Amino acid sequence: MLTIPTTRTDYRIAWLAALAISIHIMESALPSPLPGIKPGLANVVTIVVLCRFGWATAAWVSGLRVLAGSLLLGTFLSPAFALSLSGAFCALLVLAPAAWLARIAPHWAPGPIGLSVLAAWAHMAGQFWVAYALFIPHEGLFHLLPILLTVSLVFGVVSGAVADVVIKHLEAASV
Amino acid sequence: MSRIRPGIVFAALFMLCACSRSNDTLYKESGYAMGSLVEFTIYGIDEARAQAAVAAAQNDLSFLHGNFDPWHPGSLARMNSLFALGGRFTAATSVLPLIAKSTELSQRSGGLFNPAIGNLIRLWGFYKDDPPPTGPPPAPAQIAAMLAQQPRMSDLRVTGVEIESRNPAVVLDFGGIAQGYAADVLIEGFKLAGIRNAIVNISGDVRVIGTHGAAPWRIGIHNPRGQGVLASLQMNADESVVTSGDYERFYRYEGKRYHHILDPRTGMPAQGAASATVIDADAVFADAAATALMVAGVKDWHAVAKAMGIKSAMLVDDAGRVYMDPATAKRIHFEIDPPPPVVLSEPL
Amino acid sequence: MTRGDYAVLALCALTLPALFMRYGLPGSTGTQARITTGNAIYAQVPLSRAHIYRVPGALGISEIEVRDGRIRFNSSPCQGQQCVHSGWAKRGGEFIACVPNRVSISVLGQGAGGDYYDSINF
Repeated sequence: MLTIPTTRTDYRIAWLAALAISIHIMESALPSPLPGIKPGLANVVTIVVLCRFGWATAAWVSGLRVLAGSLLLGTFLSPAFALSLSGAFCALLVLAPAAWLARIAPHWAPGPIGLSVLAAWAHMAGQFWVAYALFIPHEGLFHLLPILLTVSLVFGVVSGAVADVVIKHLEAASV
Repeated sequence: MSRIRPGIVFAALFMLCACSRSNDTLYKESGYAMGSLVEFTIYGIDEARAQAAVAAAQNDLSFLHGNFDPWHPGSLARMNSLFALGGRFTAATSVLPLIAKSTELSQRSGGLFNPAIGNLIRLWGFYKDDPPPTGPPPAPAQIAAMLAQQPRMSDLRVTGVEIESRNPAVVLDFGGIAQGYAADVLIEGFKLAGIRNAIVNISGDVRVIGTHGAAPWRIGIHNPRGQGVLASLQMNADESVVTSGDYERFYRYEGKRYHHILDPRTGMPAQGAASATVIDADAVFADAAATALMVAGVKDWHAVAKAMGIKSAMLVDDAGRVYMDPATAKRIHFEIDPPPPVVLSEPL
Repeated sequence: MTRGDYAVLALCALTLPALFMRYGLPGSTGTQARITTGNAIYAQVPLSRAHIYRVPGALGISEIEVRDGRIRFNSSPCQGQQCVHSGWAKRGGEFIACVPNRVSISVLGQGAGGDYYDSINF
């Protein structure tokens, strides 16, 4: 029998990804106040992981969530998957310099709320660009952008605040 | 972190687009046919059938235009030159229905609508589109000489397919009626093709059938003084609206406006109104009637409308005042702010 | 909240009004106009962006101006100048044409209501 050696980090990623996937799937079953608009609660996990374990782990968790989430929801390789993937990719892209800033200048780096808002906007922008470029190349789509980004900002702040509380609890528990 | 999923919004947009294509089929095609602007709007049938119907209509239109154009070689030009020679000859059969209709309407209008004055129109140059006439206006003596010849539709005698003119000065120009006639013909063609909801707009002369889905067709009426749309009108299921105006073809010479609707009594551009709009079932009637009311002007329009049997009309004068009958006033919705002053007439 | 958080929020607060001004609310300023030359579509332009389009026609260049959500013929090489006198158009279904230069503008309606006018009587 072939065994692949697993590290402590692998287990951590697996557990956290499982948590993110669960939230992701539960959220997809929730009724939404506005059609198509959801507070991406699964991304609270991404922010918490980023703050606790760094960017690389967050990237793994986020990537696995998108992949496994789409497989479980049956949207793998569908337009919804492309949007989800591009959103997650852009969010991670923007979080990378923010995480780097947190290492070299901790006092100037954004905390969970700032990170969450940055990621939310990057996520939105990435999805929007893919939607425009691949699916609906119609100028009219841009009229949705300000509204989408506004809602995005609000949910970004809320998710960030949740992540902040979770991080404080985790810190208290580990101390 | 927030994650708003536009996926569903986009999917909904997709479906909206798809819906508007399948259930809410509005087919619109516009273009230039023989120098005039033509627009076809068809609702409620699939695009391929609409396209075929429009293609057929465009063929019909170029056929009609070829027959009704007095200034280029064709049926009407040939007949006009034969009128000048005198004697009886075989008429172009496609022109005969229009001659019959014009003769009747010219008589009912007391000669205010008179398509026999083609010579005057030629004198003024208003038959030319390219380049348009620029003035100066013709000499009064020339106009007087032409008026003295008194060309009238009643000078024509039609026996079967043969025609003769008792007045060599008769030159037919159907500018005041041909577009309305064509709109009626094309709509008949649409009906035969099984189209129940459509608009044919030939250089602004509008004939509609049916509705735009649950709503009636809504037509904007051009503002003769000022800009854009003066008023809108919701159309009944089979109806026409035609406007004659002094803005359609005109030139300025020494500060004065000379337009293409000539008063057969004076030989000069009609002075009494800036535009005249007639609503009627038939576009051919509405077209001739609008021309007659434009000549009658805001003073005499009501009497002429009664004599012709016009049921619904609206005139606009040089100052932008609107004259109409009460039934029309109920249907007209002004689109300019503030609305113009309105002078209501007795019912028609 | 760290200084970085405030910086991020300030950035968003600055960007959003700019975006609203640029793109407006969905449905409110999405009106477009179609410019046609001959029987072919030349361009489809948003009325939300002020711009002057120079459209080549049969006789020469028609200058078409978009400003304040409206569109008009600014100048035309034709003799009659009826297109220029027609003035501004802004509602779905409105239509201005320069027949001699074969250039026309139709304002496109949007949303479920579609065009406000189905056709224009002139």
